[in-house]
Amino acid sequence: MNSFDVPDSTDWSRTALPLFEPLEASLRCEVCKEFYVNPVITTSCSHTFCSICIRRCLSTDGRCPACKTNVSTHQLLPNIAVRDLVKHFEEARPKALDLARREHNADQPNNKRKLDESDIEQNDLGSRTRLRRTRTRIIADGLQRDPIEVPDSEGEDDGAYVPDHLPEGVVRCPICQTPMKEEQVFSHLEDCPSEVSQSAGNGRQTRSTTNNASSRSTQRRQNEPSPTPTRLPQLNYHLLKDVALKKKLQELGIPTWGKSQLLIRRHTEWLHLWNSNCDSENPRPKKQLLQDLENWERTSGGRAASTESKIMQKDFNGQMHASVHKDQFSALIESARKKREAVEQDQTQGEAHSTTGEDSAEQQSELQSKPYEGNNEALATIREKVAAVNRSGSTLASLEAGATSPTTLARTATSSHLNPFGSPSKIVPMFEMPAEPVVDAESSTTFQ
Amino acid sequence: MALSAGTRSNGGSANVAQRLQKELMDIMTHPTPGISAFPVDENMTSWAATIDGPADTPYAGLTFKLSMEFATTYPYTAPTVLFKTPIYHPNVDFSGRICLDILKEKWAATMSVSSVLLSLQSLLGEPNNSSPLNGQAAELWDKDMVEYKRLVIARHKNPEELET
Repeated sequence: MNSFDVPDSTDWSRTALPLFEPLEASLRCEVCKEFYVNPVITTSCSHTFCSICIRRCLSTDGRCPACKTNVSTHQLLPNIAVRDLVKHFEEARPKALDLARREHNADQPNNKRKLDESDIEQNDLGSRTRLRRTRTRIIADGLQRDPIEVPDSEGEDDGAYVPDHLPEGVVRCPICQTPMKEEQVFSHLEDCPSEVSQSAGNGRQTRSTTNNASSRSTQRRQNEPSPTPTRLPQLNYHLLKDVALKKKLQELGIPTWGKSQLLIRRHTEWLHLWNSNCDSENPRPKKQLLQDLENWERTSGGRAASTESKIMQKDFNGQMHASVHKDQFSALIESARKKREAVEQDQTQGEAHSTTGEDSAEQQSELQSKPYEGNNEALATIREKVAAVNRSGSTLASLEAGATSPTTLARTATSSHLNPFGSPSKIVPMFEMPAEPVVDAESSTTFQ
Repeated sequence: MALSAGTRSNGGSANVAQRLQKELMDIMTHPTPGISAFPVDENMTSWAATIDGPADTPYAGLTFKLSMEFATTYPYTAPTVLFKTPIYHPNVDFSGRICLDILKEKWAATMSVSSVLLSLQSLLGEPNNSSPLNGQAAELWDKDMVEYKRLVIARHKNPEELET
């Protein structure tokens, strides 16, 4: 996993702009510690969270996680100011962080100027005069590093600032940012090269999200011409029988398998996903929400490895576990033994025929009484060794192989003759490294 | 950055790891004296932590190891926290289980590893004697502080002794 470069507010702590750390922290949700996504404010206690975070909290607890006030889901309203703040801060962040780091690494006698810079970032809107002031001062100081230019060109794509940097009468196209004469803009807009954002309608939004960050949202909108979704009501699960609940899930178009407890959890999660999507500026299509639900199913829903297996219970019955899974263990042991025998056989053959030449061992194995099976297993062990050598560098590849398990595993089960039990998909969570047998057994089948 | 919006909303264990990683970074960059915590496995769901006994309490000068386990529902549900170092305390039983409201019904999703550890540290100096797991300790706390302290020292083991 590339989990070790997760952006975080602490990124600022050893840069020229340490004061940005609390700034960024305040733009992050207290629950998930990420930048607010679809922030909503609780009207009873005025705390702000991501829509999905507060919804999940409320369905477990019914109270605000910050102050423990009772809150219900209809007391949540989108916090538009925070949404815009986050959006613009996220756009400005990479460049600003880069600058702040470089500034910090260079000599540090320029503290004053840095402060000014941070002011610009913070007050972004309506600080045009200050912007000019800092610039002139910088020029006066004779410090004309390119970093200084960046905030205006990168963070402020909001049209209002454009006249500042361009000669009079020249403006930028709000979509593709090409400078041109004011009169030309409207005719240019007719056939602006970046048609995607143009066709997405709603002028204000297109303008504010024009730059690089916009492609995501515009693609989404193309997929589905924004049907303003309505929030789903909560159900009283106690009053619903299994059949009725299943019917509800079917109506919503989400999976209906599993026991009633799972159905309830799935429906609750779907409400979280769906209703938080309703708080979004650009609601995502249902297809993507279903994808999210599928992810949930794999990590914490019905298809998740049971949480009990991860956290050893106090009263965990080891003997019981061993007896229940005895046949699986013995099958594994058997397969391991067979492999070892195959290796030993291979070695003895290699020694016996070492006089006849280098490649004789391989020929010999083909001439065996059961050439097909011997060869197959020998190849499998060789494969395994190669895989072991490569493994250190290619954990990611093997992980991916593991992810595709259901089909590949079914194949291994049939090809290896060593799986007496019927459901291979159940084996995956049990033994922690499914990638290994999957990889080598499959490659051995392709070798035949 | 583009990732964050995409991977966010799935509610999966990836989110748990991400959130815990942020907490780890926070702990590393703003260490609190007397408290430490670090993950013990690579998917971050299991941590080892230590807290130092607060001064002016019977636990002064002692260090306690703890284990923390995070379910896939974290931070919506509290982590499972256990004392690994044997501790004599009214609200901790002999296998290290802790009775503390914020680890049960008072848990809030805005709490974190460091806030839990801080709460536990203050619990050492201010036990909740009205609902003890260790009744003897609760009684002694009010009656005989000298004996209490003797039992605390007797029960405590240094982390090095535990390893063997």
